Amino acid sequence: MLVLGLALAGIGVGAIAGLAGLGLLVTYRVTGVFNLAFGAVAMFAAYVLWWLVRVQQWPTSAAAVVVVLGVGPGLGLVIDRVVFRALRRRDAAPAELLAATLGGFVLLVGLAFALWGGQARTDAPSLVPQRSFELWGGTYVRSETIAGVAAVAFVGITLALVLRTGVGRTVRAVVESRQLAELVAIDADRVSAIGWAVGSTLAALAGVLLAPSLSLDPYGLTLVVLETMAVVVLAGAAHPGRAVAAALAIGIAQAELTRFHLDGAAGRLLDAVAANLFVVVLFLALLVVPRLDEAGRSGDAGSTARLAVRRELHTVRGWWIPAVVLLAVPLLQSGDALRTAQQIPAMAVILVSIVVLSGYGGQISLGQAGFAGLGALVSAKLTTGDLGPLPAVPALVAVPLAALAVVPLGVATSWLAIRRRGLFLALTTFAVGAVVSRFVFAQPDLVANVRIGPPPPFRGDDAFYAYELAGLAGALLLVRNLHRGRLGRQLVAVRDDEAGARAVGIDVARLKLVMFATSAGLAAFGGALLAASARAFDATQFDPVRSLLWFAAVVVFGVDSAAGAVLAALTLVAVDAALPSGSSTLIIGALAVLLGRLPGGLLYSLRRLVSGLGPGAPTPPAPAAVRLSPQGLALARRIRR
Amino acid sequence: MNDRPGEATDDVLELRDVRAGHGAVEALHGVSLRLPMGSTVAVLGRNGAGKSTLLGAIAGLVRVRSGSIRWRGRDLGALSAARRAAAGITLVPDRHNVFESMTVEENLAVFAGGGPTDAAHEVFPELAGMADRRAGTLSGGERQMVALSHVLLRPSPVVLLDEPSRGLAPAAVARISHAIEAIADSDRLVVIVEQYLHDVLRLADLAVVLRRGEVAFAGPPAELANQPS
Amino acid sequence: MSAATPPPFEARGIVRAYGERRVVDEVDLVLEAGTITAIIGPNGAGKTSLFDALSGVEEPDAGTVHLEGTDVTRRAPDQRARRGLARTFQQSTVFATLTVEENLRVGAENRHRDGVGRGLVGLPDRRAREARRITEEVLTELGLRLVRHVPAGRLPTGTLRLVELGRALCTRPRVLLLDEPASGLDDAETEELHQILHRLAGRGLAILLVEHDLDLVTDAADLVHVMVAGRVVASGPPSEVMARPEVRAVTSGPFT
Repeated sequence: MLVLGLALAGIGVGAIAGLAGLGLLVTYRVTGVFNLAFGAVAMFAAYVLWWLVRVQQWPTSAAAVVVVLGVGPGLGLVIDRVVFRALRRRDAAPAELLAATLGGFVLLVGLAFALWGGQARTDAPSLVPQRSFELWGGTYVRSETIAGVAAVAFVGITLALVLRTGVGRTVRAVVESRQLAELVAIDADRVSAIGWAVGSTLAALAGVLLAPSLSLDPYGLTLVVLETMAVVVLAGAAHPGRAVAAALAIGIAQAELTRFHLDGAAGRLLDAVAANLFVVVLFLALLVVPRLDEAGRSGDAGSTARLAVRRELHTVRGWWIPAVVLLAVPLLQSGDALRTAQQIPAMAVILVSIVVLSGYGGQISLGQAGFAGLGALVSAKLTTGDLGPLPAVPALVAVPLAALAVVPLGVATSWLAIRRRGLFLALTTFAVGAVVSRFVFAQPDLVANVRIGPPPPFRGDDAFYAYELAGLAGALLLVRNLHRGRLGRQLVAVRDDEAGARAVGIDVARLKLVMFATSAGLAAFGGALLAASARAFDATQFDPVRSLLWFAAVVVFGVDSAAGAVLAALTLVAVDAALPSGSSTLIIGALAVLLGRLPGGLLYSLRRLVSGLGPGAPTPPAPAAVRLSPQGLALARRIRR
Repeated sequence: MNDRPGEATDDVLELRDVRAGHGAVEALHGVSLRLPMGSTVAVLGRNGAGKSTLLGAIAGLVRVRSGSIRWRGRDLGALSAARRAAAGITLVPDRHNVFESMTVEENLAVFAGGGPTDAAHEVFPELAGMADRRAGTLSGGERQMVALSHVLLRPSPVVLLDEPSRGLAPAAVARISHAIEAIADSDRLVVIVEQYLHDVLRLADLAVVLRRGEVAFAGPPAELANQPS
Repeated sequence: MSAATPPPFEARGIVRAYGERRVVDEVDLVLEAGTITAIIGPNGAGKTSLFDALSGVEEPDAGTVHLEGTDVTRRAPDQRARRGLARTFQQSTVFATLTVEENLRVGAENRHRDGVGRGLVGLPDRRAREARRITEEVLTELGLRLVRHVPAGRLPTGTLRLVELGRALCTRPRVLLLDEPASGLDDAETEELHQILHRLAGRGLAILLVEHDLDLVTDAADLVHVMVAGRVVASGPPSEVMARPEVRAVTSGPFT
């Protein structure tokens, strides 16, 4: 039976998760935007509170009011006004909205890094004095639990009451049909702003309540809050009450599970499940919940068709020549510079894998770090013979083998997500990456004593770099084949009009599966290279948050541009080498947020500028004048409108 | 601004060389019309001719690429759909014209902006009996009654109706026609897109025929009968 | 036609409902080879919903669909397409960034699912030559050769309709479902369409169209079904069906 003390502790955690989930849900239902940045907002608010209390020596209560009632809604209103209103005016596609929230996510993480550094802090201030109250017979309840429950109850009841009033009716009208609401003279913009403000406030509250029990660090805290989207998925992304109930249930379950102890591998698995129950539930929910309907428009948030470049601007011929020259430069260097540069081709392969899946395949991929990290881990273990009954394999062979080994995971992800479209497909990729991270990379016995380095014939710095370049060339060749011939046409067809593609016999599901498989294999290869260049397996390099950063970088440089991916890799590594660590995150975040002004990505906008088309929404020009012969003119006259 | 001296520019809704469309597709290729306030206008044409786009452009739902729409001398270009609705241009679209997840009563309340809903009940007494039913469960005719209540509850100077009789049996069509007659009066501009020639021409002062995004005919309905298809 | 050969296309008892509202209410439809069948009726009568059920875009809530005797009721649209059922849409679904020729080529080269592996590695497709041949034939037949290199997104409506039809024809279908193919066409183009449909039927295709252009229907169709509020209320040769007063009342548009 449930142990009450544990259950109460679990309720405390659950209540906070419920708050975060409510915030996410409110923003989603009211504005139609699934705000992935909510985790970062929570983290940022917690940091601001810490700073006000620990550094500026403010009294906790005053700081709390400023953060929760000021910074919270403030961030939301700013995000809405600066980023999303322009996107709404432009009638931006859901994929662009999602990319913008990722931009906000990355920007906030980058800002936190820049302002307060990346080390974990354990002195986050607590809003309530840490006391325990005895209920009866040895059962204690902590003040934090009471605070959490009180907060979520208050918010829940307020929301429920508001929904019944005229204001609530207006909000429901906007939620159901924004367009119709506008036709009834409802100021949908104001309703959106409120949605953002409320969502943001709740995220801030959750972050501030959570920080004391965890440590304060830009990646960790953000990730934990991000994982609470499990409750939103369980609630079908629709019912606030269900979300809160789910949160409480998971909180309790998580606490109760700590009671059980098994031996050996089963025990470790159980411990991992217990410690990461929200991630597990997120994963399972995305698999199992029958209907996940996207709010507002007919779901397309996971499809990147609108983010992708139009083919009017033909690929600059021979772009790879200057790229090769550029990439050959490090060979002239040596020592540290060369070592650092070794990250570039590896990163480029990983980013190209994202271009393959998201740019060509049209699926937003938020879990690439999982594939990359597995590639690294498997190649290392294959080399040392640590992979179960398999014999040791020379490193040179181990790397491609590892890539192939990860392909089934890509296939599995695609299959798992087969029922999902759009936004929830994107979330599924995130969940897979998070599960891999928590259950593999975070397990000490799986990642201890991992030895990895440049494969033997290419031990020297120069030699390894050349090896990496060859690998990148291979990846780019593969990508080139995705542009050409029947396969290339199929991919463009599916991107241009999925229904039309199906109607002529293209098996869209299978094509997407192939995209996932290819992407996973490439990411694994890149991950192996990355770890080899670092001569160590560093789990933080393959943290789920990195997936979001990498995706944002790819979108900024042009989601369907392999050239952009290579350039992005160059930029990320160079910026982090030249400027304080974490600067690349900040820059990518800022650019991603500004994506509204740079539709199609940085590279595309620059090229349009240069070729005189001018920046702006990528709409095709008016019907072109095709030069015709006399017969053609006659025919055209017949066909012309 | 006023290019034809001697012509009253005030009490009209005017489109000047309007090009408009959804996304990449342009559906109106330079439409110019002068619709005087106080008249009832019938807009006719095949599917795909641009009729809905025309109403959408006036209401602010469809972006106008070039050209202008002026109402009583004022360029509507900058105004959002919500602002135009507040200013007095009301559109009842052909689809998605009720809040499906809300009850009939709530729909009426939203349409009335919280005010009284008697005006709708007077014209459609059946609404009282459906008050608690969710709008998504109504039949075609019942939905149209709720949808048209919007116009009854927020009487505005410009009323745009997109296929109000769509998908309805003849009996329901007659009811709708009566309701539209009630709406049309000497100060109001009512623009109706319809498929059913007979009913709408009976009500209309002006007939506009759109063909492939351009105006093929604009004049009194009587003349329309003399035109070749 | 022997009684033992199943018709190219047969739908029985098709129902599509949203809750209690039946948008398609027990519709039966049989298409014979070499014939053109038309469905007419007011907007909102359920014609596109019926089409979606017949082509596999949506599963019907009840009823069956058979393609040359094989039950395809639960099969996806791409499966039906590979089995010989082609469909065009009311809103154009051409691939806007591909040229006219590429659009048709996609139609011609996807009658088989395989070949992805070869594509990844960069090898040419095994059936490329045949696909090219079919593409050339259809380009010529529909008079699209002069615009073959124009990206489809830049084409005017009339040509777009032809491209979509061409793409469907490249799949070498036995059954063709056309959703308002004349929408947006002027009289000359509509007449051209009529000729094309006539030729296709002559070659043995079974064609079904939803149309509002009653002239085209009268000229081209062998059989007409009138659909109102989800049900077929009248069927027969155009001359008879269109003459009936109740049908005229319900379908009179601006140009009759």
